[in-house]
Amino acid sequence: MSEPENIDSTGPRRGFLYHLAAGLAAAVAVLGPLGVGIAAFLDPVVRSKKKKGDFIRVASLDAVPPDGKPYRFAVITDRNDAWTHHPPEPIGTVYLRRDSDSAPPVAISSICPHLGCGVHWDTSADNFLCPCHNSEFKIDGAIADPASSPSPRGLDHLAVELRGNDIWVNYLTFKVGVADQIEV
Amino acid sequence: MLSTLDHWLEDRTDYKRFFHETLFQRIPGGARWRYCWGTTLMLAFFTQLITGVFLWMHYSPSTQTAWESVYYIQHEMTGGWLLRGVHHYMASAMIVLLAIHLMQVVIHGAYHAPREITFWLGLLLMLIVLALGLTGYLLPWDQRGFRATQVATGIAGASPMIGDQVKTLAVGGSEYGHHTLTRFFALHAGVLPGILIALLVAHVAMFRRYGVTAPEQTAKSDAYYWPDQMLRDAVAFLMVLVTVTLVTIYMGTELGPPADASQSFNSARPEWYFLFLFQLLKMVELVAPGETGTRLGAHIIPGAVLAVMALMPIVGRWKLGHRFNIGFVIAIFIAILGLSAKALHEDYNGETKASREFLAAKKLALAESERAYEIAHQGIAPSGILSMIRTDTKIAGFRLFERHCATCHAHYDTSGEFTEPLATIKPETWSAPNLFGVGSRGWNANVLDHEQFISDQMFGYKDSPFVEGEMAEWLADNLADPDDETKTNIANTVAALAAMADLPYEAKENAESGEQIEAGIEAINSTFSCVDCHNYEGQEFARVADDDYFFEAPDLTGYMSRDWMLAFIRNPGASQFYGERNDRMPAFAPHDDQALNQVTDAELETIVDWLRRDWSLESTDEP
Repeated sequence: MSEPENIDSTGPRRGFLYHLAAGLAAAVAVLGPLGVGIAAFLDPVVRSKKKKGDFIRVASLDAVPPDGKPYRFAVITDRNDAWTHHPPEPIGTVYLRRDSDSAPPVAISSICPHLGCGVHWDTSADNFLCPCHNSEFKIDGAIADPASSPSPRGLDHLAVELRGNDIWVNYLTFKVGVADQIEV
Repeated sequence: MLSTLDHWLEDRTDYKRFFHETLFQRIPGGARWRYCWGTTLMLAFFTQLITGVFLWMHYSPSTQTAWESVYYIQHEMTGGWLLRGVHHYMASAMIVLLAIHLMQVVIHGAYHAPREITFWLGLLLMLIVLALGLTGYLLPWDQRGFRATQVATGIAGASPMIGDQVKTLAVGGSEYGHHTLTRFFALHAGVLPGILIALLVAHVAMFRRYGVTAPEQTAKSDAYYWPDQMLRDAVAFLMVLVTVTLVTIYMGTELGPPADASQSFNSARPEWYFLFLFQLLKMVELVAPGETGTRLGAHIIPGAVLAVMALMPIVGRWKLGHRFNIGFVIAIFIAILGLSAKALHEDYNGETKASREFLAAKKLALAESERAYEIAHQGIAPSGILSMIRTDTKIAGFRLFERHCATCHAHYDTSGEFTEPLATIKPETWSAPNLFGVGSRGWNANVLDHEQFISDQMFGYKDSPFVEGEMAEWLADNLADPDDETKTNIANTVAALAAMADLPYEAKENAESGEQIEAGIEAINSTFSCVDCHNYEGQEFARVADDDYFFEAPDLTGYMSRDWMLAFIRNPGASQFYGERNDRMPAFAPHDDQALNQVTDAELETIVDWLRRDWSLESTDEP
């Protein structure tokens, strides 16, 4: 490409505002469509959150032997994922345990508070174990060894209601990787 | 004619100058093999663009179609396995080539002025390539990618200030779903490659402006890029391509079991090139537990390493600085190798408990994915593979047995011949019979053999009341040392009981042993007189009238048939089974109202069908 030879530099001088207008017009032309996209992209953080944490029937009381050991149960409920309405299906699991016939059942989330993997009850170690980064928790969900625990907090306890002979659990999820229990 | 056209085109486009500039770039000291890494890396990226576009033509990002469409590419489409394999393994090759390229640049001081910007652009390119690897891992929507990516977004979400927002925007909401896939796919196939191409154009333009970094003393004379260097570049890349293709052919490209938020996945690991970060996090957290460790291992240390690398062109201005840079990059390289090796060793050593569990989980995952392919091959329902897996006899039956039965029962082949992981559950201890092959000829033979009957595989488990029971006593008295006639009678009884169970995997034997079965029924009724204690087809009614004794041994009518097993698991303490003599087995479904039972009727049927290994897909009504 050769240098243009005849540029009219003798015409009326363009003022600062003129340059500014040209720059702005070009910027809006380029960034305007990007703004439209970003507005929609931000939807998940902007959209008002729907009510969280419904109590869900998880099991009948008889299904949890009163031996103090944790038993795993599926949490079954319907849910929406963008355009799909899923009929009731397992969306996660909780551990239920009760120490005696008279003791109220306790619900412990099976989501590891470290980085969100699923913990399981290890009968030989009498601990909850997480297979991802080896977090360990005691039977009540507390951190097994605070001196070397990847998880910043113990397993999350969930609120339980006894309705007749049924155990209902407030199925909530919490932010992972932080010491405080913050609802998601 | 041709030359006229050539002139016309040249006149309007100046294209010859473009080719000339590209091909006749001056290379100081002539062509060298060591100059080929940058071009090889670029060609690897072009491979990803091309294979990626073709994958795009067949991929469908939604929670009901992602795994399904990748399955179809991998297992049904002609050449799909090769396409996906080359894309998958070329991504790994790019990481290796990146490491070589970067080491070479630092060691040869190619970041020195005036090439600082080329270097920084290269670092950004490296991050984009890693981001492409991370986003691509999720797209097949299998448990591996699903679980590993959840950890990655968890780490992002745990970062201070904007962590939550970044995570929510990446995930497209608070939970993983359709929009996680659509967003990751847009990032992977649109945004990231777009940025990469823009940066690559700038990176290459800067490179061309300053040329290769030649060794200072060279006796050889300069040469043009074409043809010597281009040949070397092409050969180097072809070797990469051949390697990638061979790895694809011989190793295959994994597609794990479909993502399932309700099913934990005990062998979740990141891609191999992120294993060092995974291991770093684990090790840092051992000394700095909790939040501090996560920050340090996942944010601060990797961030600091990147910062040091970004400062290399500035630090490298001093002679000592350059030496520091070389030392640093070699140290990091060795650290990455060491951490990756340690991560692999911890998982695959087969000695520690964690490793054994990892390996077992991996084996199970492989079996689950293979079963998923079998199901998918029959045609996937519109609701997706997951809905089919959740009701599949083999997978769901295994999970139900594990949840409800495996606290007491084992289920594995003691001979070690049958190794199907989805039918093998061997807890460290058990306190009830090993139910593998329950109702089969092998099982029945054990029931009629005193030594077997009181073994820990059958009714001689820990604290069993049956060791001292009447059946054991009868076996010891009557069948402990059988003569030939008794042996025949035992074999006949075994066949008769097996015919009642009517197990699908013994259908052929049952059909062929009509006479034996008849003789066996005769033995039950008279020779062995099983009916003295057991009910069989109402026979016992005529013989025993004592109510205390009546129905205290399991009913042999349809012993271990599907209906018998369903009724037994519903309530083993029912009068036609163990009655008062039931050991510890709970009644899983004694109520008419399903909501009151531990298992639903459908789950009960799944468990029974699984025990009967009735899981052939051909015989079902699935489309």
